[in-house]
Amino acid sequence: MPELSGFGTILLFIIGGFVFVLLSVGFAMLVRPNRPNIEKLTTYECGENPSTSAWGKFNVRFYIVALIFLLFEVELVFLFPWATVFGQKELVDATGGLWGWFALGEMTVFVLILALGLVFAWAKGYLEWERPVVEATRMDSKVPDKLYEAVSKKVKSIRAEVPVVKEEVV
Amino acid sequence: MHKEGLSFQLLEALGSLNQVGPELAIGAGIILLLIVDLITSGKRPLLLLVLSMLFAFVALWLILPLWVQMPDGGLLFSGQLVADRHALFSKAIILLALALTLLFGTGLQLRTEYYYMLLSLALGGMLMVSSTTLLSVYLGLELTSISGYILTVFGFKKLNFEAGIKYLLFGAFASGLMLYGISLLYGLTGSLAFTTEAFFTQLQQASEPLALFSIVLLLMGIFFKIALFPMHLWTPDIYQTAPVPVAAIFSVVPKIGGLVVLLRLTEGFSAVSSYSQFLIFMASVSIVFGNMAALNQSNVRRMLAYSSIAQAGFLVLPIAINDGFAVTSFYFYIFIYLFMNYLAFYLVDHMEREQKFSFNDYKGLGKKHSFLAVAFLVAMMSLVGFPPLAGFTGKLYIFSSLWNEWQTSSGSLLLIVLLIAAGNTVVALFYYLKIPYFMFLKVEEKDTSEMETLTAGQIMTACLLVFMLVFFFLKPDSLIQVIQQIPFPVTQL
Repeated sequence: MPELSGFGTILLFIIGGFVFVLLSVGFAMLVRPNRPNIEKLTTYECGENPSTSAWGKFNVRFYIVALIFLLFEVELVFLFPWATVFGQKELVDATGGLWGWFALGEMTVFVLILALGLVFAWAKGYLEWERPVVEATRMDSKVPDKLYEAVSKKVKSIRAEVPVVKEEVV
Repeated sequence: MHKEGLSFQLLEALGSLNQVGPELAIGAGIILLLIVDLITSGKRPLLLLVLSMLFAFVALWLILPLWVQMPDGGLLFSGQLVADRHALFSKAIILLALALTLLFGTGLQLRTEYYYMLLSLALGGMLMVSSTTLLSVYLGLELTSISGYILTVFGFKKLNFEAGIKYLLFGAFASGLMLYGISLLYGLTGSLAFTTEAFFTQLQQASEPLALFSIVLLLMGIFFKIALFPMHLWTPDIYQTAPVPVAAIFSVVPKIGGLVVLLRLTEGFSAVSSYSQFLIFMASVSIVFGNMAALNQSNVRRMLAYSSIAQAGFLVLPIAINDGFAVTSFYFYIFIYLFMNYLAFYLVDHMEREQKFSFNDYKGLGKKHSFLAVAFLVAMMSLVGFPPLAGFTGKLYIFSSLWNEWQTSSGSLLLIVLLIAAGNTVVALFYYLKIPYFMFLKVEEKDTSEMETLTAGQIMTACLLVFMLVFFFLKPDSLIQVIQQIPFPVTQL
């Protein structure tokens, strides 16, 4: 058997991944019954009927939230491996305690800088989920209010007489 | 992990902190500025300006003892960085550029984030010039890029956003190419530390086309930073629309970062024989292209952008030659380039505040605003390389290093390059001197010279820059003596 380098192992994993997906999907294709209908072919939207294309514009606020989420995600990604080696007794003993202080110091600086990022986003108001304020249009009409009321009463009485035809929604 | 060596490694990392004093100062500065900005809720731009200036000078001051104590500068942080005199000299240029950029700021209505973004751009440049592994090169490069994308947008007009997005897309593409090159090089050599002997020998043993291919991919990322020919596409738009001080710092800090990385890489990459030809070829194409494109511009800043592409070519030539004198001429020219480019941008900044953007707007201003026009003349003459200005001395050194190399080597390639470069200096004459030509010789059709004169502060800054250009023409030795203290070759392979 030929000797594998580290890259060879990675290559094997990549090939293995492709083969696994192709095999399972291909086998399923052969075995399953094939009876498509409209319901099956629509996009799965948690049980709702999809109303528009999924390629619509997303509000930029979602990206800001995603970015802030990334802040914590990165923090966690580094904290986990750090936590596994931070308290290892042999490492601490081998360095006369320096290891612990060093690791603690590095992580403190890292977490503080990330925390500063959060404080920045908070203080600048990026965490507020601003709703767009819909301003009602003001009208300074010269027509007195009484006249309006009279008109709307008249319209209401007319509407009450006309039978409402319900349109069938297909 | 070798447990015996761990203690040593930790102590080495702690000891390294002494030698990255300038970076630490700027890093601390960024954080402090951010906190101050939050406390004052963005209402004290002047305080931030003063603080960032202070940190720039503290960092400059920290370079001095390092320069004296550490002539060779050992590897720091397990071989990630080095604080040799190459790095220190370039850091000094970067910090000077930062300080000069801050001088623009007083009249600008910029948001306060501007200041710490500027500092982080400088920090990225400082990381680049001192990095000795491809990983730290990439880190520094990305730091300059990301701060650059954000700085381009400051101004917050539609055009700024357009330029910012263009820059971001090009930048992402270039870093992608570069990462691909780095991964190939890692596969070929098994090491990211490009100053080691193992890197050199492994690269020598690799097949040449593959090695050259991966080197070219890596270089694309660096060419993007220094705006060299195939990766120059972003330059005109970004130089034209970014705020003027930002355009000015783009023309120096990422450039020197990329160029010093290139200088460090050249030693290792010389294992591939066609590498230096490739570099010389790209530099020549860049010179020709930049100059030809600059000829036709009507917007002053666009002209400066194309000219900076050509100047990048001039700066790459001595690096490609890579001998002691060439490297001296490189450092001399980039130091002078800082001053002449900043003088040009500083004056353009004043013009743009008066809504004068194109050459046509400059017509006939020479009579009423004679100081401004003369300062422009000095900047442009120096950029062309006319005596009695330091730009001439810089170009002279570069040309004579080319000449020396041609004398010692056999091929006619260098002679052709020398002729191209010299010919293009004549071409450069036409577009650089357009500004003085419009100012002095053209007559304005209608009276548009209703323009603020320079304030006393602006005149002082301009005078300082002009003085530098004249001083280093008269006394180039003072600078050359400093530069010659930088040891050559860059890395002791």
